[in-house]
This record gives sequence, C-alpha cells and structure tokens, in this order.
Amino acid sequence: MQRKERQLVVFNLGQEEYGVDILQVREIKRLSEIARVPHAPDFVKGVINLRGNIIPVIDLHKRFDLGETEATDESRIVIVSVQDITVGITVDAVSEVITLTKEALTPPPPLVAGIEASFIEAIGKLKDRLLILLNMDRILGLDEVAATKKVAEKAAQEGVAE
Amino acid sequence: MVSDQSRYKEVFFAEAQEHLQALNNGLLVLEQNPHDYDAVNLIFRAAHTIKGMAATMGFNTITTLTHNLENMLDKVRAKTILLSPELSDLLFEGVDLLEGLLSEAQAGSEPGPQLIADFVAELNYSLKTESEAERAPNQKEPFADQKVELKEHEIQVVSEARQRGYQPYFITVQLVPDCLMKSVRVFLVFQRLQAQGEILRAEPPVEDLEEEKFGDSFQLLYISKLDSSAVEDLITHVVDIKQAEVVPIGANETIYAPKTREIAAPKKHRYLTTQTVRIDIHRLDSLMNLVGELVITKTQIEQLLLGHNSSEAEEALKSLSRVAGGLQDGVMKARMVPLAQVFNRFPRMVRDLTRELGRKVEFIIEGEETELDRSVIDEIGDPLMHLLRNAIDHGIETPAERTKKGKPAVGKVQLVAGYEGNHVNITVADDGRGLDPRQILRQAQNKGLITPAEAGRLSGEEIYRLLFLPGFSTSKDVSDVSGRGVGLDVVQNKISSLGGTVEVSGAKDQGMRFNIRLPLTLAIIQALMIEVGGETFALPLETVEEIRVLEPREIKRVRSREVMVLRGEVVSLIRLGPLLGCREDGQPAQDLSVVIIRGDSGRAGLTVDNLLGQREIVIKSIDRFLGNLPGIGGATILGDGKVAFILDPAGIINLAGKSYSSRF
Repeated sequence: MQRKERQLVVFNLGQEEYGVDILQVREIKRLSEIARVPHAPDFVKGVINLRGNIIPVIDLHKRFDLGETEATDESRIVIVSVQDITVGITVDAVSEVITLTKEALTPPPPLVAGIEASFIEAIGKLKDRLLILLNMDRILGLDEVAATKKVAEKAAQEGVAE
Repeated sequence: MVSDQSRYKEVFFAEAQEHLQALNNGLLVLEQNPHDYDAVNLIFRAAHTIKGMAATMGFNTITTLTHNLENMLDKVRAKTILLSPELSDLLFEGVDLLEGLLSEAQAGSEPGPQLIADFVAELNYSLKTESEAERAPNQKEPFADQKVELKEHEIQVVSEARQRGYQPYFITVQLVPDCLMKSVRVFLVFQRLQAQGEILRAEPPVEDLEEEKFGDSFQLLYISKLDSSAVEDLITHVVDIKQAEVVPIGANETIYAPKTREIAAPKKHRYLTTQTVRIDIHRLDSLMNLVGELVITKTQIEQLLLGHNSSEAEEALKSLSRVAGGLQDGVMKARMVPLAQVFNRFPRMVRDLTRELGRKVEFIIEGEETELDRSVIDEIGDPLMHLLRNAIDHGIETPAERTKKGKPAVGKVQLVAGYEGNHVNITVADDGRGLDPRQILRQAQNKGLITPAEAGRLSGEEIYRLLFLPGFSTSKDVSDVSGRGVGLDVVQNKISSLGGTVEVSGAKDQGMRFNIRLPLTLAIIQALMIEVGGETFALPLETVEEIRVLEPREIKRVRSREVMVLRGEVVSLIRLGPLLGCREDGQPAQDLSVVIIRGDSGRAGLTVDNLLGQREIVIKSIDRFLGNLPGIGGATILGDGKVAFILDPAGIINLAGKSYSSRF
C-alpha cells in the first residue's frame, strides 16, 4: 500500500468497530430479502438480487464466530468487490467514513478479540478508538472456495458412482 | 440533400445485410430443391428490396447489379429457367459481388459500373442460353420424375373402359403450399371426379389422403368420357388447387412417368424473415439496470404502503407490478438472440468449401432456435467457423477415399445446439478420418511441445487435449482453409474468455467431436414453479413428466426408501424439503403433490408443498464465489425481485441417492 491516506468505511459488528477500504465498497444497502442457498457453507447467508445480478451475502457474525445477533433497523448489507467477485457482507450498523494516514495503521498483533488473525489486515488507531481493518480477500476465502468446490464435485461424483 | 440521406445510410446498410442473408439462405434452399417456389419468391423479394433501397440512396452500381439479378430470378420464378448448378454458382457469385459493393459503399464510396460489367454480361449470356435450352423439352412438364406403372388388373380395366368409350387419364393434382384442411380438398376433388367417371387408383392411397399423410400433391388413375381439359376444369374448380395435370393414357401405354416425388413431399424450410431494429447493446444494459431499480423501488413502495390499508393504492400497485414485470421480461428477452443468427451463415460457407475441396458433405444444423445472450452470440461465430472448416478440410475425406474405407461417399458434419441445465451445449461433429492418438503424440514431440517421457504418461483424453496447445497442427500441408498452426488454441482461448469449456473426442476413421459448453449469463426457459418449506424453486419444464397427487397409503417403502408406483414402474420418492434443508412446515398428513421428473439416471418423484404454476424464467448464473451447488442448476429473479433457485433434476436425483445411501 503506497497511498499515504486511506479512506475506510466503518461499521459495527457486536462490540467491535471494523473498517473496509472504501475502494472495495460498491454500495451500502438496507437488509432486504435474502434467499437461502441450499447446501452452501454456513457463513453464506444467502443471495440477494442486486439490480438483476445475483450476489452472495456473507454473514460476518458466522464468519468470525461471533454468535448470532438479531437484525435491527440499523443492520446493513455492505456490497464489496474483491478480485472480480462481488459479495455482500452483513453488518450490525454502518457508522461513518474516515480517513486514516498510513502512520495510524499498524500490523495486527497475533491475537485480537478472538477473530482469526489472518482476517485482519491492520489495526487503525483513531484517538481513543481502535479500528480493525479487514482483509477481504481472506474473509472471502477465495482459496477456500476452490476447496469447497472440489469437495462438492467429489461428493457429486461419488453420488453418481453409487 | 446529401447530408439528409446520410442519416438513412446506416439503416440502409443494416437492412441490406439482412436481405443479403435472405438471398444466401434462399439460394441454398433453392439449390437443394429447384422447385421450391417459396424460396424463389423470398430471394426475388430480397433482391427487389435491395434494388429499391439502393436506387433511393443513389447507389447506381448496386441498383444495376440487383436489377440484373432480379431479371434472372424472375425467369427462375416463372419457371422458364430451371436452376442449374452453373446458374446457382453464378447467382452466388452475384450475391458475393453485391456484398462487396455494399461494404465498399458503406466504407465510403460506391465503385463504378465497370466493376460489375463482366458479371452482368455473363449473367445475360446465360440468361439467353439457359432459357433456350430449358424451354423446349420441359415446358409442359413442371413436375419431377416418378414412374407409375399400371398394374395388371388395371390394364384390363383400362382397356375395357376404353372399349366402352371411356378415356383413361393420369392426373396429378397439386395443392397450394400450406393448404389448410387438405383432406377436404381431396374429398371435393374425388366427389367431382366421381360424378363424371371413376377413380381407379389414388397415389398415395385414399386412407393416407384422408389422414393428410401427403405433401402438396397426389396422383389419380381416372377414367371418364370427358376430355382432358374438361377434367382439368373439374379439379381446378376446387379452391386451393394450384394445378392439375391431366394426361391421357395412350392405348398401349402401361407405364406413365409423370413427375411428382420431389413435389409430393417438399422439405419444409422455415423462412425466418423478421423485422428488426438495431440497438446498441449498452443501451439494453442500462435499460435492464433501470428496470431492476424499478422493481426494487416498487417493492419498497409496497412496504411503505403496507400499514395504510388503501385499496386504491393497492390497485395502483398491482398495475405497477404488472407493468414492471412485463418491462423486465421484455428487456431481458431483448438481449437474447437465437443462435440461428450465427448458424445461418454456415451453410453457405460449407457449400463453398466442399466445392473448393472436392468433398461431399451433408451439413446438418439442429437447435438453431437456442437463444443466447447477445454478447455471447457476437463472439461465438469465429470459433465455430474454425471448427467447421477443420471438420471439412481435415476431417471429411474425399468421396473416393471414403468409398475405399467402406463409408458412405457423402460425409456428415453436424452442428447441434441445445440447453443443458444452465448451460448451452454446441457440438461440432464429423464422421471423417478422425485423428490417430499416436500421430498426435508424434506431432507434439516433433514440435517440442512434450517430451517422450511425458508422451508415455498421457491418457487418451489428455492426448486429444494436446490439440489445443499453441502451435499444434496435424495437417501435413498448409492450405488457405485451415491448418496454419493456429487454430484450436485460438478456439479454446475464445471460448474460455466467454466462460465456457471445449472438449474434444474422436477416434481414427470415426471422426471428431467438439463439445462446447457455454454458460448462460441469461437465458429464458419454461419452468414449473414450486413451493417447498415456504421457499420458491423452479423446475425446468422439459424435465417434468407429470404431476400426481398421492394419498399417504400410496407411498410404499422399499428397504427404508420411499417409493411410489407409477403405472407399474417403481419410482423413488424424494422429500424435497429435507433434501434442500428447508425449515420444515411439518409433513402434511393429507394428500401429497408429487412432481415426476426425469434426470439422466431415471425418474423420480419430488414432493412439493405447493405448485405455483408454469412461468417463463430468465436463468441467471450464480456467482462463481459459491462454486458448484449440488442439485442447483442456476437461479432466477422472480417478478417481485426475490431470488429463486432453479433445481437441476439430475443433480437432485444424485443428491437424494447419496443421502439415502449414507443412511445405511
């Protein structure tokens, strides 16, 4: 990251504040009807219709093992695009967009708030607040997807064999 | 004035292209079947229209050329000239010339008349000679050959009748093409003839005629005291009789060779002449996005109005829903284009190529009505063209070679398209010489694409995949048709850039088969909408065989598997709710709706909570992020903006098989 400053979209999940690089954010939507996807990994909450495109939605609570929360009026779906892939992530609330200088970002310590360290790109310091900057590539588990796909294909083949 | 016309130029060239295509198609049909009146008319009209438009636009050379083509076609239409192979070559040449003129004119300036002078001279020359040659012998006999022999008893009857003053006739009756209620016409003809004589035999037999099992014409052996023109009048008096040929049978004639077979069962060709408006694809894209927004906003308004209980608002909303739904469907369909648009240009190409190379090929196209998104259609033409050229140039052997191998002299090249789940399959297959795996290996090693050690390890399938490596070409000599060492790798690149795959299989002397699988970014299918556990799913209608309502006692068990008996066949029953992980609404104790589907591996009955009816749905591909979902073939967006999954019957049956077996 050569840029001096980064703008982050800040949102809440449980008690923590998280940020995603604004360049990855396409839009922020109210919670709409999410269609469940049969036989998908459990962190996939479902799919939504985004202007004619079918977009998967990831439940960050499940992804981070934070336990379930009730959807509220504040709940939002943040649509992000990473490596040609567009997905929605559910968050409890979107609070603001902030600008952080490069200096304000530090590498993540090995253990943070219980969520998997590889999901964290950096920790942002903002006066008395700490912001967890998410590594969306990892969260979307693009390599993991390939793995699940293989498992599914293998299962399907075994199904045929029987 | 000039600047005024430039506005119309674009329209002119676009329309001219369509008419050119019609000319090509019509000529191809006509070449196969010179009696096809519709084809003649179609190409005549196409030439005429281009002439008219060109004259309006001030393109004099194009006008002259089309005028001359039209003259010739008019003669063909009037049947004073029969289309000979030489003549059809000439006409094709004219169409090519016309295409060249059009593209020059589009690029800037129309070439002068000297460019077409030679052709026009040639055309006029053959116009003269052909009509002289054709006129004399064939004028009175417009029908094709078929011998009809009088049977022994008929000879006797005929000669007896002759003694009593009757004249035997052989009659060929031709109905107008696409005549409705043909059996009625037959009945009327019979009735009128029988009042004045006797029908000894009908060909095809009367039963077939009554069941309309015949083409546009039939033949009769008839005796009457009337003369031939009176008999002809009797017949042609019936509405929708195009022509009747009444030929007296001479005293010692036992064989009469009138002409029908060709006409009796003319091949049905569909002439796809459609009116179109050309539109920039980006406009459609943005239209579609706007429609999506509209649907979503409509849903929001619905929710806002929920508490208000206003019946007027509700009415207005309902009407808005209907309009928005129709608009959505319309825009999505507008993007879909039948593959015919690409396929149409191949018969001509195949024809030219086979002539050039001295091959004989039967070219079969199927599934050209399969629709694909416009963006895919635009890209798929070149790779298909390449595969077809390969098939004819490298695949199909010369007739002599084929005969030596014991194959029919005429080779077969097939181009078949169709839907399969949320994919479109396009197959290019030939029955030519195929490829010897050893030869492929040798070639690959010679070109340094693989090492001998690698060669030993490759499986049969992997060997064929070598064909797709850049720089691979098995043809011994380079022709201008194909085989320049670029080829299959280009095909593969193009297809994978469209998100598709291409597979190859084949065997020496049995031909090659290329199977292209393209994802449907958008495609419309008929589906049966079902509800399971409060969720809506779509089942492709083509896989649905029937719908049954089962009483609980009709459900039987075979080794803990639920089955039902359908007309003596045991069909396994799949509880769709649990299989798809739907939240259960509690199994209803009363009757069960069961949809019988057919997958690759057989039938199965799916239990559903509700049948929501048949709908046309637009298939959307599911983001690759989700990978392959077992049992799911795709997704669609319902009228209210919600997403519903399209079930893949074969996948569902497999999935059920697996979950059952895991229970044991």
